[in-house]
Order: sequence, then C-alpha cells, then structure tokens
Amino acid sequence: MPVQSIVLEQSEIISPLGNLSETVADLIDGTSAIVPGPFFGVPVSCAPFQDERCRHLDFAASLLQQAVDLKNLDPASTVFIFCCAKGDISALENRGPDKNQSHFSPLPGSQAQYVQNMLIPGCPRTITISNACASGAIAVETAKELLEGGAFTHAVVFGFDAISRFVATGFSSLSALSRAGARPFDAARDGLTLGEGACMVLLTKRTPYAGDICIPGTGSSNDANHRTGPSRTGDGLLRAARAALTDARTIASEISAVKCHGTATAYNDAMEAKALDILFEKNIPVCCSVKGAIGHTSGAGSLLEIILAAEFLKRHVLPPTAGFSSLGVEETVPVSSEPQAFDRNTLLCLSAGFGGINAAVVLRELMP
Amino acid sequence: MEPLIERLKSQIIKALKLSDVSPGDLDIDAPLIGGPLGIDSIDTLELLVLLEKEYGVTVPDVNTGRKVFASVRSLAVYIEKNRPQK
Amino acid sequence: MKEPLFLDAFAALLPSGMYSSRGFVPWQSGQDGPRDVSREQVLDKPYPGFGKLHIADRLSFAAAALLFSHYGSCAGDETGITLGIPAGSFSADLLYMDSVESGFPSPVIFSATLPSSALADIAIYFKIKGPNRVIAGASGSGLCAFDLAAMMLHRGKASSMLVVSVNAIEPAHMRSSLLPAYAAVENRAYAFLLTRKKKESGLHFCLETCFGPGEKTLSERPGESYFDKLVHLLMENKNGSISFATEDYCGHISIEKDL
Repeated sequence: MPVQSIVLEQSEIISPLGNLSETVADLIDGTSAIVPGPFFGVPVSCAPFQDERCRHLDFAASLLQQAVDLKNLDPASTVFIFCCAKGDISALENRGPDKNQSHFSPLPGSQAQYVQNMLIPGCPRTITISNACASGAIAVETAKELLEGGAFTHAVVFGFDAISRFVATGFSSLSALSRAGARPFDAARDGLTLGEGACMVLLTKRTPYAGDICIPGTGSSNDANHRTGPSRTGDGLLRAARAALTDARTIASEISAVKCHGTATAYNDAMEAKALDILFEKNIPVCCSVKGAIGHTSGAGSLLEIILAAEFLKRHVLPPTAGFSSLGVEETVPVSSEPQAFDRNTLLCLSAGFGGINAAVVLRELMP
Repeated sequence: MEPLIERLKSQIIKALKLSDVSPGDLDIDAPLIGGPLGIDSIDTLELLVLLEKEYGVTVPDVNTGRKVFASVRSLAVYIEKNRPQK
Repeated sequence: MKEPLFLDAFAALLPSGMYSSRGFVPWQSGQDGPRDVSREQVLDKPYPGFGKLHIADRLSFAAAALLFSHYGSCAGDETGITLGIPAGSFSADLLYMDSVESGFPSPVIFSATLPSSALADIAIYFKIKGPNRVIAGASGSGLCAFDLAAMMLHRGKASSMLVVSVNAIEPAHMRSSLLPAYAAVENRAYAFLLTRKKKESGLHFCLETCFGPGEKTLSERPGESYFDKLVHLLMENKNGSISFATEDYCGHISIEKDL
C-alpha cells in the first residue's frame, strides 16, 4: 500500500501585494506593500489590500472561489476549516441604526458559515479556528489530524483578516505598532506593521507525486506566561517546532530553510532567535520574514505565509527580508536583504500568537 | 500628597478591576508591576490611559515608565510633578 | 489498537448552579447565574486578576478552576487545552468599541477581544503548555473541542487534555442586533479532563467517543447544552452515554467506570 501524505493541492491568496504569483514575484524582488499612514486615525504605516473591497469577506471569498477549483470535490468527504483572529468585523464598526449593516455578525462562526455555504455547500463539517495570530497554522494542524484520522479525504482551509479601526486602535493601545514600517530582526526594529489577507488552500490525503508539496509534520504549544507578549526564553516556540519535527520524523539538520514569524517587535524577534539557536544547535539555516513586505496579516496571515512558503520551497529560494539591514538579535540568524537560495527539500514555518500560542508546520517537496 | 495617594489606590483597583484587594491592602512602596497584585505590562498600558484621562499626564518613554510605575508612591510623585496646573 | 482514554474530572457552571465531583452548589441569592461566579467559589487562594476577567474569560477560567480544585494540578507541556466558544468574545468586542468611541481605547479590554484570550488566562494560571485549539464555530464548538482533544490524545500529542466549552454573553448585550440567529444567550461553562493517565483523585471513567459528520439540514440548535446530560451522569457517578445531532456532529460520548 503506497504511503499517503497530506498534499497541498491548490491555493490562492489575496495579500497586500496581490495574488499568489504577484506576491511571490514582488517578494523575491524585494518590493514592499507597506505605506505610510494614518490608518483609521492611527498615525502608523500599514500594508493594506490593493483593492479596498477585499476588506469585505464576501468579496474576498468570491475572488478566491474563482481561483481555486472546488467544483469536482466530493463535499461528503471534505471538511471546511475557517480561520481568523477577528475576521470581518465591519458590523461592529458600522453599528447604529443609521449606518449600513454588514452581512456578518462579528462572530467568526457566522462568517465561517457564509463562506462554507458559498464554497462547499453540503460539506458535513465546518470548523472555525480562532487562535489569534497563529490561527492559520493551527487550522492546518487540525486539517492534517482530521485527514490522517480517516474521516475526510479533503480539507479546505480558508483564512481572512482585515485591518479596521478596531484592530488598528487596539494594537496601537498595546504600543505594538511601528511608525515607519516593520524591520524584522533588524537592530532598529520598533514594532509590527498591520497587514491584511485572505487565502484558501485545498489539502488532500493521497499518494504524492514528484514535485508535490506535502505537510509531514505540525506542532503547537503554549508559553503559559503572558496575555500578549511571548515568553522571553523562546521555550514555547521551541517546543512547538520540536513537536512538528517529531511529527514529521525529521531532525533539525534536515531543514534547509525557515519561514520565521518575524513580526519585528523587540520581543518576538529576540525570542524567536533564541528558539532557532537552540533548535538548530547554533547552525541555523537560511531564514526570512515576509512581514516587512506584507505586514502582519494576523490570523489569516499564518496560513497565507504557509502558502507562500510552499512557493519558496518549489523555487528553492527565500525572498529578501524587506525592512532588514543589520542584525539586531544576539544569535546568528541568517536573515538577508537579498534572496537566499537553498538546496534540499524541507522547510520549517513558524507562527506565534497572542495568548502565548505557538505553532510550527514542516513542508516537504517530494523529490523524483 | 496623601489625598492623591488614597484616590490613586482606588482608581488603580477600579481601572484594573483587581479583586481580593482593598485600598487598605495596597502597600504604596511595593512593586506595582509583577508584584503581588499580578499586574502585567498590559495593565501598565491601561494605567497610562488612566494617567492621561484623569490627570492629563503622559509618559514619554519606556525608561521613564519603568520608574514612574515602580510603586504607587512613585506614580503619585510623577503626577504631582507633571500634572497641568489649573 | 487505540490506547484507552479516560474522563477523569469535570466541572460545570450552569444557570441552576455549579456542578463538580464535590457536589452541586446552587447560586447564592444575588448571583445572576454563572456570570456572577465569585473567586471564592472556585479558587481557594486570593487572585487579584480574577476581577478583570471579561465574561467569556471568567466563565472559562472558573470552570477550569473548579475542576482543578478537586483534581489537582496538570501543569506542564504534557497537558493541552481545547476551548469551544461559539459566542467568541462578543461582549468584550462591544465594550472595546465603547472605549474607542470614548476616545480612550482600552488595552486591557482589547486583549480580551480575541476568543483565544479565554484560553490564555487558563494556560497562564494553571501552567498548561501543550497543544491548544480555540474553536469559535456557529454550533457544536464544544463538541469539536471534545473531538479534537480525544484525537490529540490518541495521536500521543499530549497525555492529558482540558476541554472547555463556554457560551458567555453579558445580559446587556443579549438583545444586540449584531448577534446572529444561531447564538444561544444562556451563559454556561463546562470543563472536562480527558487523559491517558488516570490520577488517584480522578473519576476513572473509561471514555469512548464517536464523532460522525453532521447533518447540515438540522434545524435543532442545542445551544451548547448537549453536555448537560453528561454532567448529570458524572454527578451521579453512573455509566451511560449521551448522543448528539448538530449541523457539524452526530455521534455519542460514552463513559464506563474502570474497575
């Protein structure tokens, strides 16, 4: 019986740089989508959607529906997983009898129901994951567990998060935002830049073919330390990464590249560097963060970045880390302002979220 | 400064919704952050909002912030020094 | 051959009162159900942070605290949490928007507006460091939390999983036009401890679960109260089974004393 894997079948994104192929091309080129503010009255830079209509979940979902072919999917063997940190909460912003009502309640479940009805009517299970900024990676972990468990053959994972007055004022009140733009791992980094994103991926459990990108391992953990800040030791992220490697039956030295969380806050990047240093025993492979180019696209972001990482893996190149010029962490993390080629076929994706949540996903390209 | 300190104690308890704590329990020289009250950095940011709202006082940077929030007494001293004169 | 799982502890905060293996405790006069749970009712030691918990966080935390108060600690990376929370952080969302409109956005309230903040408060206080999931779906979120927890235990990703299922909306917000039709408005919170390794202080119920696909055409909305019957079985220390049928799950949970 040939071995089955969880295969990334199809995917599409809407990022601040455009669709998947536009985003990958721009990232490798070093282009950034970060623009100066103010946004929603907050004097910070952001990475917004190119088309403001994408801030509405129904519009974004209809664009993605055109790009990913789900028509031949058997709904009975498909699970739908919606992930977001807050999702489309325009109804909260527009509340009041004299303002337009959004389609959606601010409850994530309401948004998940809408998208599932649109994309896969009749699928027998919809799961809504809301694990803050690690939602996407946790959704992928959940999909993998359900597919491997045998209840489903396909999983459609859909992520959505948009910038809003709610989110912009909130992050600003936490003093988490950079004024000029995120500079991941840089000595002059001063906070994150909010981005927005919508994305969808179809995962299938089947025998993989040469060139397929598979997900051999996932892992998650909790720092159990602080409501929003990461643990200073990086212990939680390290455990999530090790859990993913164990799940993938892979050792650290087989990882050829890392797609970091790299939010560009003082604490995250310092913490992540510590975790990487211990995980790879001071021999860290090439790393990148995309948040200096497309911002921190929140819960959807961790799925969007996994989709991007699959593209980096296919091309065997990490994009430059936009915003980076000189290393600002104690450990030797190979981040660069130039593209970095890598050989071999296994990549590690890291995510972390408010509430001490850490998640790691291993991607592998099946070689001929 | 006594009335300010008494008022501050009540305001801190109210703003941070601290339970199991009354103004009489608060040691004005004990560490405010990370001390027995379980106040973390987000609570500190909430206290910054309180400072601005109730006293019109802001804190310019993190280092000053650390000294200001060292204790209830240091907070009161900072407010006295920096509040806009009527 | 799957390793056996156990349901070793539970607690619930329901409209009628608090339930745990210590027995049933009705709400005191002046307490308007679970939302008014006091620190003393669930935790022996003073905890200044209890008062600031917003309703979803408070109910989740209180259910977990009540469970651990008679079970003992499960601290460490071998214990994870799944949290089912269909109403998300709805009340915190509305309170946060109020603070924005007042001109002083509140960092404390904002950090409570992620559905995952309820999980964070439990993880921090009880030092639960393993895998974690927050399920904020339209219906059956608690069932999903239970299913995913059992799955993770079977796969060896943890040796114990705390399952929390909570529905929490402030009375002032229950009539909001922003609430979808599916939203139940009764406040309730359940906590279950699923484990591969029983504790001396535990209930030692062997656990068998079957979570089949749901039926999207179902119009019945149990509003997260499907665990009530399980709580009653546990209170009576009886073997038995609960079955459920929602849009996303049809199946059963069975418990049998491990003798």
